[in-house]
Amino acid sequence: MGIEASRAPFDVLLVEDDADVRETLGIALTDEGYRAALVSDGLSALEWLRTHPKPRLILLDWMMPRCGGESFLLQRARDPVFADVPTVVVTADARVREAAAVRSVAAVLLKPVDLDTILETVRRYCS
Amino acid sequence: MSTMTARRFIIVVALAGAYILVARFGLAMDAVSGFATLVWPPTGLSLAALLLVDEDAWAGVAIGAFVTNAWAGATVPVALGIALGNTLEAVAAAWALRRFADFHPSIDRLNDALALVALAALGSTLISATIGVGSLVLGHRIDVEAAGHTWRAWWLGDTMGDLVVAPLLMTMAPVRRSLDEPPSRRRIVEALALEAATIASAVWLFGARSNQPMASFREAYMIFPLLVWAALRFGSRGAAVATFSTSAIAIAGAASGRGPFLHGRLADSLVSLQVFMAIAATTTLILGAIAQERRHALALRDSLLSVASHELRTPLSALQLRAQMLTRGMIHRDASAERLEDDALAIERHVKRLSGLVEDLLDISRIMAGRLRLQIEPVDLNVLLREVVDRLAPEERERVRLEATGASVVGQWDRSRVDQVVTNLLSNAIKYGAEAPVEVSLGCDGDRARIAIRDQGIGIAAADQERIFGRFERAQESSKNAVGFGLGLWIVKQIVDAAGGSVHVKSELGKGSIFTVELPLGAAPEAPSPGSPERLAHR
Repeated sequence: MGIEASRAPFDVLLVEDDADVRETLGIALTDEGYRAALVSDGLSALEWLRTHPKPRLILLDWMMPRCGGESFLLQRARDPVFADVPTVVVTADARVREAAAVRSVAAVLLKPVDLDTILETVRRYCS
Repeated sequence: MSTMTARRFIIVVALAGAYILVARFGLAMDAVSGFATLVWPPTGLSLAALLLVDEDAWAGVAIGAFVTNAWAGATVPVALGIALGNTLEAVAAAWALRRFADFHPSIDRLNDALALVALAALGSTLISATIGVGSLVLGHRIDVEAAGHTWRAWWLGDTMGDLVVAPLLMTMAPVRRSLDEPPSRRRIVEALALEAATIASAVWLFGARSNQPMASFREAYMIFPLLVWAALRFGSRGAAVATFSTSAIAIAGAASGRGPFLHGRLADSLVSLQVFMAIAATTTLILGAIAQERRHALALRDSLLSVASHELRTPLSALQLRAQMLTRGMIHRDASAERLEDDALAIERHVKRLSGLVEDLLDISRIMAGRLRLQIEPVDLNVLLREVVDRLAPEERERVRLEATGASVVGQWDRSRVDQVVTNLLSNAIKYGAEAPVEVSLGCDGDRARIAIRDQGIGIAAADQERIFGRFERAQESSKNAVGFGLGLWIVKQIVDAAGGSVHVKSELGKGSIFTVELPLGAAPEAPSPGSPERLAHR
């Protein structure tokens, strides 16, 4: 987990179970100068959030083993410490837009996601 | 008494009780020679009970049949003979349907309908009619001269039980159909309207006395459009309900001297009616099964397309991002040569992964069309397992412990297909393995090689362990958040079956799973195993 070099707060927490997408997005964000922590499912993300300072943005995949995007959002909402961290869902399933749980998120991006779109979104919350 | 024995005891008593109840109803229909009835619902009840509830509950049939016949006045030896015939009929039908037809009690395939008609309705009923009538003759309850028409009545009555009563019970039983959606309100209204129309039409057609207006115009075949409607729109369940309603009304009509099948004696009227209903029931059931099979195929296709498009988007995402990163680096000339090389290599890897997924989709269509071909050659599993593990991403490879035997395990297999099986099971173990180590072991057991892949992940509930090898099936625990086509294990099973081997899972929720593949060391057999739903070609 994590590309973490110092104890400074992270800009982005990337929650994505697909190793290829996780690695690629991690590199893209690091290239742009953002500090990104990478985890592979909702449970690891919750653990990470409890042990680190709040990131400025969470990029969240939807379908993941153990704890998916929906369960993660429900548990995030219950925790006063990180309930207000802006979250952007990045999913391959267009039907997620209609799910009740995504009402609390900042945006839903559909895969295959465009590099400019994702960087623009991150810039909006992390600049 | 163990729980299992107590459960069976209750089933046997309940089945015997239900048997006696419906048998009394059947016997009330002007029994030929006092025992052979033209409507014998217990045959259908027995078959449905053995197939749906407990195949070893035959004692319920035996007790029910014995009590019914002793009650109807048979001596003990005759009642025992008849009970033997009735029991053998049910046991033989259930056995033959399972053994030769891989029978689905929901009658959702053409083969199920044909097997029910041929093996149960027309075949197994010969046993009961022959032993039953034989017992009556030997017990001097009927003359030899009466044996012919008693046998015909007996056989037709039992046939009707299998064609009209069994399908109703079997298709109404709750089953889990993963691709079916709950019925809409519109569909419920249509079903109710159809049933009302069927009952009204059957009453009009089969409930008229010969002196009523338009009586000669009321022909039995007029019920067919409604039966066809039921079958086409509501599959085998619709067919079974419509056939049962029509039969019940038609028989009640004939029993009270009404309808188009009156030929003097009730028994003669009922023979004409039964032949008509047997033909109507067979036609409707077959049509219903075909309609259901077609609907299932369409749902499967839609589901495949939706899952495929969804699952292709994820690796496509990685590919697109990498390609855009490479383009950016080249345009801005700010990326190092190593970085550009990394991007290009990653792109190549993502393309390979995408082609793998596309290949999986093609495999499904090949397997379904029976065109999966195995290219047999000597393969060393020791080497193959190492190759599969070496191909994993470094972070995944670190989690895998390979316990191969020192000696080589060489057999005659299709290298790429065995590779596919191992890769599939291993990536599942990694995906659902809760980031704990995954053990891969290889051994030889006589003339079979055994590969076991063990994870310590979320595990699979006992109820899901058979189902996960089906198409688009995932264990409940993982389905909500799972990724992948849900076809991996199905493909694994088809390949292993084609190679004459077997694959099974042992698992406990929360503790992990062990998937074991056994492959015969020699070349694959010419035909797939009997349970295999599709025939796979070999060369």
